[in-house]
Amino acid sequence: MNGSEKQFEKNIKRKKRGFDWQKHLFLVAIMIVPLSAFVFFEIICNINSILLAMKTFDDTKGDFFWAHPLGKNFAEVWRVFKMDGILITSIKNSLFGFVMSILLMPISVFISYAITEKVPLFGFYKIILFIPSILCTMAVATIGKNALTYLLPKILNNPGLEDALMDERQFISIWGFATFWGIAGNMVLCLGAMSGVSIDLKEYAQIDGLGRFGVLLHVVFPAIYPTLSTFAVVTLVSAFTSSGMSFVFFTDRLSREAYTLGYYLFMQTYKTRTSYAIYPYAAAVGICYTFVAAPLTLGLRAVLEKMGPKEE
Amino acid sequence: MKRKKKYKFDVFTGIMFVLVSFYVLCLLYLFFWGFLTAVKDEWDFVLDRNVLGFPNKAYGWKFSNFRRAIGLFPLQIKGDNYASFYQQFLYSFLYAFGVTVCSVFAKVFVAYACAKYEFKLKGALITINIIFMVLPIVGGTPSAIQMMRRIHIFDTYIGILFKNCCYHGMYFLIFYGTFKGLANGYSEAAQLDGAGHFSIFFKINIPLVANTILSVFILIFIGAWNTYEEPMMFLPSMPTVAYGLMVFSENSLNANAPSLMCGAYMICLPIIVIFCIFHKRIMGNLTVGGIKG
Repeated sequence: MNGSEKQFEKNIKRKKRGFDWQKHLFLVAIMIVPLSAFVFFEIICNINSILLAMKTFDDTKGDFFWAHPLGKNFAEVWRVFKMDGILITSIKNSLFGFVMSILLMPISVFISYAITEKVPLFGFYKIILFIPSILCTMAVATIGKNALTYLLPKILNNPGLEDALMDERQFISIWGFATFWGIAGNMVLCLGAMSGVSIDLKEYAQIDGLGRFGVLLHVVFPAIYPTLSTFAVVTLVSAFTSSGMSFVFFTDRLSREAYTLGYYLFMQTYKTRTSYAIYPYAAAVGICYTFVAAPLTLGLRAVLEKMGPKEE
Repeated sequence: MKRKKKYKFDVFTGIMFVLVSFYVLCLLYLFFWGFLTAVKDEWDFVLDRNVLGFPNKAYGWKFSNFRRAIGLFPLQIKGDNYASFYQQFLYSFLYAFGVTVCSVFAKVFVAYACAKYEFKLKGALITINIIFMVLPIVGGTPSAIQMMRRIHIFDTYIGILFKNCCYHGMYFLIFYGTFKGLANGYSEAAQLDGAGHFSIFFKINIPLVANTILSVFILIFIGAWNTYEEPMMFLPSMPTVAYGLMVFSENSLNANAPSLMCGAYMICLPIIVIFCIFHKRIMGNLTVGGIKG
């Protein structure tokens, strides 16, 4: 018997024994660290987050104890929502950002379609339009802040715009720049989806008499609808989870009128760097957000799936 | 000789072309303006209000602003310890590289196991991944910080690497699909020749998906280099350049526009270099994934 035949015999004997210890050893070896990390950071930490939300920090003893009553931190979230007004402002700003992102998505779709249709210089344009997707947000915010403070007032010959980042126009200034920059990022999304649309389908549509706009409306848009609806869902989620450009523009010095939901949550988390006392409240805010964001996200996904173009 | 196909313009295409060109010109002008600002003298920009033009001849092109900005970057960590710009750069590289390696291989290992083996947890792992991708679970950071402090891995390099060893995410599904698509013939042939599971995985299957691994590696590296939230919250004693730029811009004494622009451009330089080398791979995979890495 040669070497491979001997090994084949060994494998058969191993299978007949019913327990392949080498296979199980291999699986444990390659999965133990990823699964441990997952269990620790996603399961245990999220359970701890729920428990933390029902605790309070005792400065004198330097530890966390069960709050009395248990829902004290959630009551505080509700109090801030009703009395403080900051959460209401955050909701309004986040809603505005979400709606405007959806309404302005067609610009990214048009730009992606232009690249797909290979307008003159499309290769060069494609490279330039990819760059915003890969640059550091902090660096982008630095360029953006200075552009809003110095460049834009000079170009528009309106010195009054120099203070736009410091007064009641702060939110709209940050949102405006983030939207301008985000057009290129959204284009990347659309390009990926449009690359999957069959050229034959477009040609058949053109033969049937449709122009480029007609092809976009009747062929491309239905084909990329799943991507656009995913974008809508992701935008809704990021309203709750992402501080967006707000934090990178102003860290913890953003004015209350410019708060968004994501920024408010991030600020609670940011404060945990210096104070244990804020941990329970921050955990409670996160849980409240999850209970609101999860059904909204699933609901939006269901509505968009129903509204979407049908195969026939 | 190839005849160049003439592009057919209609009204809609004309509008598209104008829109794209306008947007690209705005972006290019912003990058160019940022660079011009970075090489202007502080007096030229702030006092003489030379915002739009080229650097004034009286002051000249101040490429030394980049060296000056490096000197203004040092960041206080603990007590009297400061992290210089070069240390922050090193920390950024260590963070980005370490996190990318852990993240990529965690996903590769679990995806391979799920794609090529039958075991009890397989279905649950895939389902859990999809659930975590769909369901927004928010605000777990304070809890994660507390738990990491409890087991003494908070603010440690090992701790941040362990945190990024979670297998779930979009790239797990990409690797799962890739491994699923691999023919079993190679593995079976290697098995007949006496190769064990480790050899089949590392010597047969990994090289077959090396292309995908490299593409995902580049995308995750770019994302890790650019991020500031995670290193700021979980690794404050190893500040990255992104965090350093944030603190630099907060310091009103040093935060004039030319210095800030120098800092911003220096942070972007490594990514621009990576993009120039791997632009086809990055653009190809970003469009396939459709989501920023």
